[in-house]
Amino acid sequence: MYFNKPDQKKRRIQSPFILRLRLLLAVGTICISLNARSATPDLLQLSPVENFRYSVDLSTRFLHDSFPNKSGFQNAVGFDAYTKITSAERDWATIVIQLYGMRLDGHPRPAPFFEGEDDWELMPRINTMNIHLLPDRSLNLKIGHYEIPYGLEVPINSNGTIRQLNHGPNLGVKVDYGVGLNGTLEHFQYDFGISRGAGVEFDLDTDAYIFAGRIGTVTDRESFYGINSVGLSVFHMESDKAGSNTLRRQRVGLDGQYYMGPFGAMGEFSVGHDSDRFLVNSLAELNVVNRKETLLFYLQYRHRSIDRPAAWDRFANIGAGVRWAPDNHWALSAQIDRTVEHFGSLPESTLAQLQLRYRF
Amino acid sequence: MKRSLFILLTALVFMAPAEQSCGQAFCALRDPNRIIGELFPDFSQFKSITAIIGKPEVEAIEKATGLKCDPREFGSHRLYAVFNEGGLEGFVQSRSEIVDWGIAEIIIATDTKSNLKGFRFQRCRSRYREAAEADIVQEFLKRLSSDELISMARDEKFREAIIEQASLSKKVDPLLKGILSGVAKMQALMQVVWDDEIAALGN
Repeated sequence: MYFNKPDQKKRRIQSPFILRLRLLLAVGTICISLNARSATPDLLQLSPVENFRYSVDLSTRFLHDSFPNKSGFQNAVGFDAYTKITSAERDWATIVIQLYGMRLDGHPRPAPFFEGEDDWELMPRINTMNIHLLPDRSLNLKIGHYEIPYGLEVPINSNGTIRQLNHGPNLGVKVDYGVGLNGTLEHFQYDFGISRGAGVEFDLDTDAYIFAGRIGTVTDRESFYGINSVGLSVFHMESDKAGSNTLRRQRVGLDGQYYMGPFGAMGEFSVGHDSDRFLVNSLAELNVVNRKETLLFYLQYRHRSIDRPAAWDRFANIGAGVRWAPDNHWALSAQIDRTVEHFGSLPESTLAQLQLRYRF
Repeated sequence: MKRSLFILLTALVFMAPAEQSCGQAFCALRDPNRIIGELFPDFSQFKSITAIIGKPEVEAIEKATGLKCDPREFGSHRLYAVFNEGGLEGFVQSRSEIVDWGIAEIIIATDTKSNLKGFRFQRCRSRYREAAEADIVQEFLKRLSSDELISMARDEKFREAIIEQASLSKKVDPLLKGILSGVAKMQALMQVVWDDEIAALGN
């Protein structure tokens, strides 16, 4: 799902300085906020206090892969915090901190940043400060470990859920350390950033980088059969992680969402290159919700074609899922994915997932 | 180092107050800044004021309005104080109300005295959205007192009067009920939850 380079695990070992710096930043923000919480609010001073909130995010996920015939678990305990730095009459910055401890037990498809199918890993998800340069939010500066601004992932949050969009299969990276500009104007919104190209890890000994961005219609006008967040995205990555061969990954993508009463449809279509290989990548989803939106059913179709020297190589996957979230705490999700066409000569396979998530 | 971080995470788990829970990850939270600009064309800036809506607050809202709250209304909620060059101009809240198909997110604006100033749907899957947002509906609702808004939210017959007066389809009614419920609950919340902060801003 993420970088798939053979020497990646060697580079996992991070500088103690970087680890300490990350810890210091996280703990510092939390302590400032918690300590100041008890103080008398002074609306004339900058404060990260008034809007501080945090939740604990627990989840356990069971997975079964038909090829190879293997079952396992993915468990997570996370700290999800949010605050704003505020003065008497203005929000100056929004801070999000998400630190997760992940545990795999016999995971059939572990992500590359794990050391195998049984592993503990500390995983920073979204850890950003979005500085509001202009008070109407038309220009903001985002710094930190952010979600790559590309495609449907910009208007839709799939963080920690079984239901995923196309970042992993298409871009190979979902979150990265970097800096970017974003904002909302009257008729459109934009989000662009340049980042380390390192994904979950913070590699200092690499010249990799990613430039990515999306410009689209505003996402706050979702309506019946209206234009809902149509967006155009670009992605350019240079990665020298393998040392000898540089990977250049480029994408241009178009995404959109449409809603009619309880029904929703969305899609993302990308073309681009992985080094000198042209490829086409697409995702389509149909979904339906109940009246209270506590239940969501969806069908997904993913397709990827790569122009190899001999012939086009294709991958196709069909998925069906359901999510039941009766309140602000619980979410029970299940999904089955059937890979009907595989790259190379790999056989068809089915992945079943069941996840229970609790936030408090 | 890894062990220290896991110990920190474990400690944070036990420190978390349950009433702050939010069903979605916080990275998904968005401010309605563009709609604030539509509702307050002269605004220069705004600030967020977050409060925890727990069981006592929900009970107080239900008692004050007679309107039932959804379990998802518990948790942290934001009130936006909107300023122009001359000072405080009003308040905005994003309210989630269950309508005919799914949850509608309604951005509601009041003046500094908690009187309705206007509203826009931020998210609405009904085809009658534009009808419900029409100027004639907004002007009618702005003239109502808090008690009249609550009565209309609770009684379909009162809402029929607006629908007839504005020559709207009867299918606008679920949206109208959502708007009225949202406005009534926001006005009650401003008294029950944010009264101190609002008073401080006025000084």
